[in-house]
Amino acid sequence: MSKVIHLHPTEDFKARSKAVLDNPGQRKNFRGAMDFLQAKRRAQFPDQDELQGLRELGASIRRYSLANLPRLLEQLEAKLTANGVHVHWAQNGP
Amino acid sequence: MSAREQILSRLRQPLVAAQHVSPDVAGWFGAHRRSEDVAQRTARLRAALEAVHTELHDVTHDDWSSVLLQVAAVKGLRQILIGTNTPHGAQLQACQTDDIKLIPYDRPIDSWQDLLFDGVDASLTLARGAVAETGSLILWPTPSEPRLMSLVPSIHFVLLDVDTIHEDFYAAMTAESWSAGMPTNALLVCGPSKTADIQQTLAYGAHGPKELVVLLRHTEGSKA
Repeated sequence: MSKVIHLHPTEDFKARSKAVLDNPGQRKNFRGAMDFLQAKRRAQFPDQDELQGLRELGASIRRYSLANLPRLLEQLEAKLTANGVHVHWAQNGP
Repeated sequence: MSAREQILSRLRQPLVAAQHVSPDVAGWFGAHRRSEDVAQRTARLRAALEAVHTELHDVTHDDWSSVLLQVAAVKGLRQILIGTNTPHGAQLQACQTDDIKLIPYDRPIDSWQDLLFDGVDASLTLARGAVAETGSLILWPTPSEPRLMSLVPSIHFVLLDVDTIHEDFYAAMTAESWSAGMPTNALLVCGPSKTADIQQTLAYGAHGPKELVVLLRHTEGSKA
């Protein structure tokens, strides 16, 4: 008999997810992966001031883009269409 | 209301703190510009590419094709894929030897897939430019030099004119007005194809060419 998979969180979702995230093995794996990746990035940006400046510039671009998302999406749609791309809009959920 | 209108109308609700001032990207890069000359940009690109196992040769407009054929001979290559109707392809064909066959990419892929995957040792494409800061070659595939040329053959030769090397990615995008017309694929190639997905073990050639050979083409008299 096939197992039923619930796609929507059940009431105990938070408790169960907290238990999983508190798992020492998981914590150790995440820590190891993040340290590995962050060390590689630090090696690419020896100038910490430049890295910080780039991070702030990136954050500013992200904030601006989120605040102007409807206009940017419409501009993207127009450019894509002009390039021969067929654009569909689809929503999550009902 | 259409899905499009519903999505846009939801996004128009002010969910994030509005920032209407455009980020000063030009100002940041202007303040951090190194103002390097061609020789300095070339040196930085060379160091970055050599650090990731890329082979580089300094060439001129006169000798690049003979240098390429010599390098290919040393590697024991028998076939090199070239584009169609390109000035550099014609120049290479003009000094073709009996030992190395030049194969033009002049048919739709469906009719010669087996040959491309099993019967071609290497390919040659022209780079649109490069980025010194990150050691990246800018490839801009065209119908004359399609994307598969830099993806399938095990060895990829790239001809790069040193005066098309930009200081950083922002300089390349703005100087070349990328936003005015993008191709289907725009590639930044920073060395031979490599992956360390499996057990962090480095392997070459898993997702593309295992060797990258760059011909740095200098204008007469400036060859390093």
